[in-house]
Amino acid sequence: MDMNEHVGSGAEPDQTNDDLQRESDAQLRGVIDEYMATFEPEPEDTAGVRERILQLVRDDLYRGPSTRLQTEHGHPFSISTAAVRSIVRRAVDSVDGIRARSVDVEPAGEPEGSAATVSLTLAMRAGISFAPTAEAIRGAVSAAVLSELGIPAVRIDINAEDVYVD
Amino acid sequence: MTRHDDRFDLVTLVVRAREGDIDAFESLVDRYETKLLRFCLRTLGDRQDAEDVVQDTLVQAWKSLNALSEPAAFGTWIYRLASNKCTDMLRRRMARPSDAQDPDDMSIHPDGRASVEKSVEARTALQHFSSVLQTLSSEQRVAWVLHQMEGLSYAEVAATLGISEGSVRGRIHRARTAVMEGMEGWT
Repeated sequence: MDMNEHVGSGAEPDQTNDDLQRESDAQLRGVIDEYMATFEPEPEDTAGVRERILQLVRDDLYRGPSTRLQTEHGHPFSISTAAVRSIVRRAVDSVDGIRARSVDVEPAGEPEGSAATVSLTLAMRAGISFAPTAEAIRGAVSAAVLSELGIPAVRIDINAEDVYVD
Repeated sequence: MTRHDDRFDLVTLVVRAREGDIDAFESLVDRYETKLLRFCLRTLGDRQDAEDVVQDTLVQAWKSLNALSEPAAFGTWIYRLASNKCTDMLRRRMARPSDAQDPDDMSIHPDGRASVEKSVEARTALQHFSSVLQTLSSEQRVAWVLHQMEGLSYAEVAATLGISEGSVRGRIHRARTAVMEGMEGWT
Protein backbone atom coordinates (compact mmCIF):
# COMPACT_ATOMS: atom_id res chain seq x y z
CA MET A 1 0.00 0.00 0.00
CA ASP A 2 1.42 3.37 -0.97
CA MET A 3 0.28 6.37 0.98
CA ASN A 4 0.68 8.35 -2.23
CA GLU A 5 -2.18 6.38 -3.60
CA HIS A 6 -4.54 6.23 -0.71
CA VAL A 7 -4.15 9.63 0.90
CA GLY A 8 -7.22 11.53 -0.05
CA SER A 9 -9.04 8.43 -1.21
CA GLY A 10 -11.83 9.20 1.25
CA ALA A 11 -12.97 7.56 4.43
CA GLU A 12 -14.50 4.14 4.04
CA PRO A 13 -18.16 4.05 5.15
CA ASP A 14 -18.62 2.20 8.39
CA GLN A 15 -22.00 0.57 8.53
CA THR A 16 -22.31 0.62 12.30
CA ASN A 17 -21.27 4.24 12.70
CA ASP A 18 -22.75 5.51 9.49
CA ASP A 19 -25.33 7.82 10.98
CA LEU A 20 -23.03 9.23 13.62
CA GLN A 21 -20.30 9.75 11.06
CA ARG A 22 -22.59 11.57 8.63
CA GLU A 23 -23.99 13.71 11.40
CA SER A 24 -20.59 14.60 12.87
CA ASP A 25 -19.00 15.21 9.48
CA ALA A 26 -21.79 17.58 8.49
CA GLN A 27 -21.76 19.45 11.78
CA LEU A 28 -18.02 19.69 12.12
CA ARG A 29 -17.02 20.05 8.48
CA GLY A 30 -16.47 23.77 8.73
CA VAL A 31 -14.26 23.72 11.80
CA ILE A 32 -12.36 20.62 10.65
CA ASP A 33 -11.65 22.29 7.31
CA GLU A 34 -10.49 25.40 9.13
CA TYR A 35 -8.25 23.32 11.40
CA MET A 36 -6.77 21.44 8.43
CA ALA A 37 -6.09 24.69 6.59
CA THR A 38 -4.38 26.12 9.67
CA PHE A 39 -1.99 23.20 9.70
CA GLU A 40 -1.10 23.17 6.03
CA PRO A 41 2.70 23.38 5.69
CA GLU A 42 4.16 26.19 3.61
CA PRO A 43 7.15 25.48 1.35
CA GLU A 44 9.41 27.48 3.67
CA ASP A 45 8.35 25.20 6.55
CA THR A 46 9.71 22.13 4.81
CA ALA A 47 12.91 23.67 3.42
CA GLY A 48 14.67 23.91 6.78
CA VAL A 49 13.61 20.43 7.88
CA ARG A 50 14.74 18.98 4.56
CA GLU A 51 18.21 20.47 4.89
CA ARG A 52 18.61 19.24 8.46
CA ILE A 53 17.54 15.74 7.47
CA LEU A 54 19.89 15.57 4.51
CA GLN A 55 22.83 16.88 6.53
CA LEU A 56 22.29 14.16 9.15
CA VAL A 57 22.03 11.57 6.38
CA ARG A 58 25.23 12.78 4.70
CA ASP A 59 27.05 12.62 8.04
CA ASP A 60 25.82 9.05 8.48
CA LEU A 61 26.84 8.13 4.95
CA TYR A 62 30.43 9.22 5.60
CA ARG A 63 30.57 6.64 8.37
CA GLY A 64 29.36 3.88 6.05
CA PRO A 65 31.26 0.73 5.00
CA SER A 66 34.18 0.64 2.58
CA THR A 67 35.20 -1.78 -0.15
CA ARG A 68 38.89 -2.85 -0.20
CA LEU A 69 40.47 -3.14 -3.64
CA GLN A 70 43.99 -3.18 -5.11
CA THR A 71 45.69 -1.30 -7.90
CA GLU A 72 47.24 -3.25 -10.76
CA HIS A 73 50.57 -2.82 -8.95
CA GLY A 74 49.21 -4.55 -5.86
CA HIS A 75 48.70 -1.47 -3.73
CA PRO A 76 45.58 -1.81 -1.56
CA PHE A 77 43.06 1.00 -1.25
CA SER A 78 39.61 1.48 0.24
CA ILE A 79 36.68 3.28 -1.27
CA SER A 80 33.27 3.95 0.15
CA THR A 81 30.91 1.11 -0.78
CA ALA A 82 28.21 3.69 -1.54
CA ALA A 83 30.59 5.40 -3.98
CA VAL A 84 31.41 2.10 -5.70
CA ARG A 85 27.73 1.34 -6.09
CA SER A 86 27.14 4.83 -7.41
CA ILE A 87 29.71 4.27 -10.19
CA VAL A 88 27.94 1.10 -11.26
CA ARG A 89 24.45 2.66 -10.99
CA ARG A 90 25.43 5.55 -13.23
CA ALA A 91 26.75 3.14 -15.84
CA VAL A 92 23.57 1.06 -15.74
CA ASP A 93 21.31 4.13 -15.88
CA SER A 94 23.19 5.32 -18.98
CA VAL A 95 21.72 2.43 -20.96
CA ASP A 96 18.48 3.44 -22.64
CA GLY A 97 15.38 2.04 -20.93
CA ILE A 98 17.26 0.68 -17.91
CA ARG A 99 17.08 1.79 -14.26
CA ALA A 100 19.49 0.28 -11.76
CA ARG A 101 18.06 -0.93 -8.48
CA SER A 102 20.28 -3.04 -6.23
CA VAL A 103 24.04 -3.11 -6.83
CA ASP A 104 26.63 -5.28 -5.12
CA VAL A 105 30.34 -5.07 -5.89
CA GLU A 106 32.62 -7.67 -4.29
CA PRO A 107 36.42 -7.83 -4.40
CA ALA A 108 37.68 -10.68 -6.59
CA GLY A 109 40.86 -11.81 -8.36
CA GLU A 110 44.21 -12.93 -7.06
CA PRO A 111 45.29 -11.14 -4.98
CA GLU A 112 41.81 -10.34 -3.76
CA GLY A 113 40.69 -6.87 -4.74
CA SER A 114 42.59 -6.80 -8.01
CA ALA A 115 39.28 -7.41 -9.77
CA ALA A 116 35.60 -7.19 -8.91
CA THR A 117 32.44 -9.17 -9.36
CA VAL A 118 29.24 -7.20 -9.84
CA SER A 119 25.68 -8.30 -9.15
CA LEU A 120 22.81 -6.00 -9.97
CA THR A 121 19.07 -5.91 -10.26
CA LEU A 122 17.24 -3.53 -12.52
CA ALA A 123 13.94 -2.44 -13.97
CA MET A 124 13.60 -2.25 -17.74
CA ARG A 125 11.19 -0.40 -19.95
CA ALA A 126 8.49 -2.50 -21.56
CA GLY A 127 9.44 -3.54 -25.07
CA ILE A 128 13.20 -3.60 -24.47
CA SER A 129 14.94 -6.70 -25.78
CA PHE A 130 16.81 -8.16 -22.83
CA ALA A 131 19.71 -10.08 -24.42
CA PRO A 132 21.32 -7.23 -26.41
CA THR A 133 20.53 -4.78 -23.62
CA ALA A 134 22.26 -7.02 -21.08
CA GLU A 135 25.39 -6.93 -23.21
CA ALA A 136 25.17 -3.13 -23.40
CA ILE A 137 24.87 -3.02 -19.61
CA ARG A 138 27.87 -5.32 -19.17
CA GLY A 139 29.89 -3.14 -21.52
CA ALA A 140 28.93 0.07 -19.71
CA VAL A 141 29.59 -1.37 -16.25
CA SER A 142 32.85 -2.96 -17.27
CA ALA A 143 34.11 0.30 -18.77
CA ALA A 144 33.05 2.35 -15.73
CA VAL A 145 34.65 -0.01 -13.21
CA LEU A 146 37.87 -0.12 -15.18
CA SER A 147 38.11 3.62 -15.76
CA GLU A 148 36.97 4.77 -12.31
CA LEU A 149 38.33 2.00 -10.07
CA GLY A 150 41.19 0.78 -12.23
CA ILE A 151 40.27 -2.89 -11.99
CA PRO A 152 38.42 -5.28 -14.31
CA ALA A 153 34.92 -6.51 -13.60
CA VAL A 154 35.46 -10.23 -14.13
CA ARG A 155 31.84 -11.17 -13.65
CA ILE A 156 28.62 -9.14 -14.01
CA ASP A 157 25.37 -10.85 -13.01
CA ILE A 158 22.21 -9.10 -14.10
CA ASN A 159 18.70 -9.76 -12.82
CA ALA A 160 15.88 -7.87 -14.49
CA GLU A 161 13.28 -7.91 -11.71
CA ASP A 162 10.70 -5.46 -13.03
CA VAL A 163 9.31 -3.92 -16.17
CA TYR A 164 8.03 -0.37 -16.27
CA VAL A 165 5.95 1.64 -18.70
CA ASP A 166 6.82 5.28 -19.33
CA MET B 1 18.69 13.65 -9.70
CA THR B 2 16.76 16.83 -9.05
CA ARG B 3 13.99 17.66 -6.62
CA HIS B 4 10.70 15.94 -7.36
CA ASP B 5 12.48 13.66 -9.82
CA ASP B 6 9.88 11.25 -11.10
CA ARG B 7 12.10 9.24 -13.41
CA PHE B 8 12.34 6.55 -10.78
CA ASP B 9 9.47 4.55 -9.32
CA LEU B 10 9.09 4.13 -5.58
CA VAL B 11 10.60 0.63 -5.40
CA THR B 12 13.68 1.71 -7.33
CA LEU B 13 14.16 4.72 -5.06
CA VAL B 14 13.79 2.65 -1.89
CA VAL B 15 16.17 -0.11 -3.07
CA ARG B 16 18.76 2.45 -4.11
CA ALA B 17 18.42 4.48 -0.92
CA ARG B 18 18.79 1.29 1.11
CA GLU B 19 22.21 0.83 -0.49
CA GLY B 20 23.37 4.33 0.35
CA ASP B 21 22.20 6.29 -2.70
CA ILE B 22 21.68 9.69 -1.14
CA ASP B 23 20.08 11.12 -4.29
CA ALA B 24 17.43 8.43 -4.17
CA PHE B 25 16.79 9.13 -0.50
CA GLU B 26 16.57 12.85 -1.22
CA SER B 27 13.90 12.07 -3.77
CA LEU B 28 11.99 10.06 -1.15
CA VAL B 29 12.25 13.00 1.24
CA ASP B 30 10.83 15.25 -1.45
CA ARG B 31 7.92 12.89 -2.01
CA TYR B 32 6.98 12.40 1.63
CA GLU B 33 8.21 15.32 3.70
CA THR B 34 5.28 17.67 3.11
CA LYS B 35 2.71 14.90 3.59
CA LEU B 36 4.35 13.81 6.83
CA LEU B 37 4.66 17.36 8.11
CA ARG B 38 0.99 18.03 7.42
CA PHE B 39 -0.03 14.84 9.24
CA CYS B 40 2.21 15.61 12.22
CA LEU B 41 1.05 19.23 12.42
CA ARG B 42 -2.57 18.14 12.52
CA THR B 43 -1.86 15.42 15.03
CA LEU B 44 0.38 17.40 17.37
CA GLY B 45 -0.95 20.92 16.81
CA ASP B 46 2.54 22.34 17.27
CA ARG B 47 4.91 23.33 14.48
CA GLN B 48 8.21 22.72 16.29
CA ASP B 49 7.14 19.32 17.60
CA ALA B 50 5.88 18.35 14.14
CA GLU B 51 9.15 19.35 12.50
CA ASP B 52 11.12 17.38 15.11
CA VAL B 53 9.00 14.28 14.50
CA VAL B 54 9.36 14.52 10.72
CA GLN B 55 13.11 14.93 11.03
CA ASP B 56 13.41 11.98 13.43
CA THR B 57 11.14 9.86 11.23
CA LEU B 58 13.06 10.38 8.01
CA VAL B 59 16.49 10.03 9.61
CA GLN B 60 15.34 6.81 11.28
CA ALA B 61 14.01 5.65 7.92
CA TRP B 62 17.42 6.23 6.35
CA LYS B 63 19.15 4.26 9.06
CA SER B 64 16.70 1.37 9.15
CA LEU B 65 15.67 0.94 5.52
CA ASN B 66 17.13 -2.55 5.64
CA ALA B 67 14.36 -3.46 8.07
CA LEU B 68 11.78 -2.78 5.35
CA SER B 69 11.36 -6.15 3.67
CA GLU B 70 8.96 -4.93 1.00
CA PRO B 71 10.13 -1.69 -0.67
CA ALA B 72 6.67 -1.08 -2.17
CA ALA B 73 5.33 -0.69 1.38
CA PHE B 74 7.54 2.32 2.06
CA GLY B 75 4.58 4.72 2.25
CA THR B 76 2.76 2.72 4.89
CA TRP B 77 6.01 2.09 6.77
CA ILE B 78 7.05 5.72 6.91
CA TYR B 79 3.61 6.77 8.16
CA ARG B 80 3.82 4.07 10.82
CA LEU B 81 7.14 5.44 12.02
CA ALA B 82 5.68 8.95 12.12
CA SER B 83 2.48 7.79 13.82
CA ASN B 84 4.46 5.99 16.53
CA LYS B 85 6.58 9.06 17.14
CA CYS B 86 3.50 11.29 17.31
CA THR B 87 1.92 8.90 19.81
CA ASP B 88 5.10 8.95 21.91
CA MET B 89 5.23 12.75 21.76
CA LEU B 90 1.61 13.07 22.90
CA ARG B 91 2.21 10.60 25.73
CA ARG B 92 5.27 12.52 26.88
CA ARG B 93 3.26 15.74 26.92
CA MET B 94 0.61 14.13 29.08
CA ALA B 95 3.22 12.66 31.41
CA ARG B 96 5.04 15.94 31.99
CA PRO B 97 3.09 18.18 34.35
CA SER B 98 4.90 21.26 33.04
CA ASP B 99 3.67 20.47 29.56
CA ALA B 100 0.09 19.71 30.51
CA GLN B 101 -2.23 22.53 29.72
CA ASP B 102 -4.27 24.11 32.47
CA PRO B 103 -7.81 22.80 32.14
CA ASP B 104 -9.12 26.34 32.63
CA ASP B 105 -6.92 27.59 29.83
CA MET B 106 -8.13 24.78 27.64
CA SER B 107 -11.73 25.33 28.66
CA ILE B 108 -11.94 21.61 29.25
CA HIS B 109 -13.00 20.04 32.51
CA PRO B 110 -10.61 17.52 34.07
CA ASP B 111 -13.03 14.73 33.22
CA GLY B 112 -12.25 15.40 29.59
CA ARG B 113 -15.63 16.83 28.62
CA ALA B 114 -15.71 20.29 27.17
CA SER B 115 -17.60 22.98 28.98
CA VAL B 116 -19.33 25.38 26.66
CA GLU B 117 -19.79 27.84 29.51
CA LYS B 118 -16.06 28.00 30.18
CA SER B 119 -15.28 28.04 26.49
CA VAL B 120 -17.27 31.18 25.89
CA GLU B 121 -14.03 32.99 26.60
CA ALA B 122 -12.36 31.29 23.70
CA ARG B 123 -12.22 33.49 20.65
CA THR B 124 -13.19 31.00 18.03
CA ALA B 125 -14.67 27.58 17.47
CA LEU B 126 -11.31 26.60 16.01
CA GLN B 127 -9.54 27.22 19.29
CA HIS B 128 -12.18 25.25 21.11
CA PHE B 129 -11.90 22.43 18.58
CA SER B 130 -8.12 22.34 19.13
CA SER B 131 -8.61 22.06 22.86
CA VAL B 132 -11.18 19.29 22.41
CA LEU B 133 -8.66 17.33 20.32
CA GLN B 134 -6.26 17.51 23.24
CA THR B 135 -8.72 15.57 25.36
CA LEU B 136 -8.41 12.54 23.09
CA SER B 137 -5.97 9.81 24.00
CA SER B 138 -2.83 9.81 21.86
CA GLU B 139 -3.95 6.61 20.11
CA GLN B 140 -7.43 7.98 19.37
CA ARG B 141 -6.03 11.23 18.09
CA VAL B 142 -3.55 9.61 15.69
CA ALA B 143 -6.19 7.23 14.32
CA TRP B 144 -8.79 9.99 14.00
CA VAL B 145 -6.43 12.36 12.16
CA LEU B 146 -5.34 9.61 9.76
CA HIS B 147 -8.95 8.77 8.99
CA GLN B 148 -10.76 12.08 9.19
CA MET B 149 -8.10 14.47 7.94
CA GLU B 150 -5.70 12.37 5.87
CA GLY B 151 -8.55 10.46 4.26
CA LEU B 152 -7.39 6.91 4.99
CA SER B 153 -9.94 4.12 5.16
CA TYR B 154 -10.25 2.01 8.31
CA ALA B 155 -8.24 -0.76 6.62
CA GLU B 156 -5.53 1.69 5.62
CA VAL B 157 -5.31 3.13 9.12
CA ALA B 158 -5.07 -0.43 10.48
CA ALA B 159 -2.22 -1.27 8.09
CA THR B 160 -0.45 1.98 8.93
CA LEU B 161 -0.67 1.51 12.68
CA GLY B 162 -0.16 -2.26 12.59
CA ILE B 163 -3.33 -2.97 14.55
CA SER B 164 -6.61 -4.69 13.73
CA GLU B 165 -9.35 -2.93 11.79
CA GLY B 166 -11.66 -3.52 14.73
CA SER B 167 -9.33 -1.61 17.03
CA VAL B 168 -9.19 1.22 14.53
CA ARG B 169 -12.98 1.40 14.34
CA GLY B 170 -13.16 1.48 18.13
CA ARG B 171 -10.61 4.25 18.47
CA ILE B 172 -12.19 6.38 15.77
CA HIS B 173 -15.69 5.84 17.16
CA ARG B 174 -14.59 6.96 20.64
CA ALA B 175 -12.71 9.91 19.19
CA ARG B 176 -15.67 10.97 17.09
CA THR B 177 -18.03 10.71 20.05
CA ALA B 178 -15.67 12.78 22.23
CA VAL B 179 -15.28 15.43 19.53
CA MET B 180 -19.04 15.62 18.99
CA GLU B 181 -19.66 16.00 22.70
CA GLY B 182 -16.85 18.48 23.09
CA MET B 183 -18.15 20.60 20.26
CA GLU B 184 -21.76 20.54 21.39
CA GLY B 185 -23.12 24.06 21.22
CA TRP B 186 -20.33 25.20 18.91
CA THR B 187 -21.60 23.88 15.59
